[in-house]
Amino acid sequence: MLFVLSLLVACRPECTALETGGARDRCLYEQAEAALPTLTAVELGWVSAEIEDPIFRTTLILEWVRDHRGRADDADRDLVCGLLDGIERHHCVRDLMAAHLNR
Amino acid sequence: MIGLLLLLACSPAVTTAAPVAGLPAAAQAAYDGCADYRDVPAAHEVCLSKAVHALDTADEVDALCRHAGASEPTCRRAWAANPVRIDTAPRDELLRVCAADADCAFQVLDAQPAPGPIEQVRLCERHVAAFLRDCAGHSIQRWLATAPSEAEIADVYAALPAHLDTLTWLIGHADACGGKVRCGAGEGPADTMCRARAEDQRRRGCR
Repeated sequence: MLFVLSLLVACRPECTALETGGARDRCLYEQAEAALPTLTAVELGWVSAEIEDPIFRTTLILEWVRDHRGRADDADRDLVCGLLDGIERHHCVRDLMAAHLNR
Repeated sequence: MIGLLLLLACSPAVTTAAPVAGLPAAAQAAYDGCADYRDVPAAHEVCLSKAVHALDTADEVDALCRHAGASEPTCRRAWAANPVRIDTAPRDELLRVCAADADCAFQVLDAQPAPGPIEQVRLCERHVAAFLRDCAGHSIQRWLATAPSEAEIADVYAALPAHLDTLTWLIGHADACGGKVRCGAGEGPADTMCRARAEDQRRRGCR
């Protein structure tokens, strides 16, 4: 929680100063992506909620899922996969839950 | 003039979508729709994986997903292992789209299994090598639910010697835990292994 607050505070002056949605979203994505290995599921939820562009938001979430296979617990899975829709949610649950993908 | 040059130099680059050699028209249109993300490779790849849903044929999907970089398996799986087609599209076509993505093929084979365990395990060997034990295990469990006879079990032991470990483990478990099959009474290695596993399972209990 502290990390995400500091992340958002740190990136806000730079990212939110950008006027266009696309550039702002890209800025937020790149800042969060750099912190991905240490980003918790809750923090990911906070940061992804700030990103309006569905491609940048989905990219960040899928990179987190790829990075956290075998390490995410049930609560993480519910939270993170709940950020996605449709087939991406279906595959997120499988990626974080199926035994053969998490050994 | 200098002002005009500065204006041109400082304007944001306009993203143009050049035709990609070999892309079918529908795949090219899907590719062009992701032009805004081309300079962020990870986002571009995810965009292509979303755009693939608009495509109708395996050839179009194959051509587009080849451009999805690290997300190529995600792109292929998004189309082939999708509930809208995984139960109905021809299995061979779906497996062709899955290509080297073993989990994609695993989902397809679970959704459209071959009629018998021998053919199904052969498909696992060909397409799901990375998760072969899991894929073979699903095939065998599905078959055991049909209560095969002792003779049928012997035939499968003979046809799948490389999978005796999985077979005897699952049949021994079923024998010990109230399943529909029993280990054979023979003295061959498969029946002997099966009985040992059933006995071990009984000792540990069934849950």
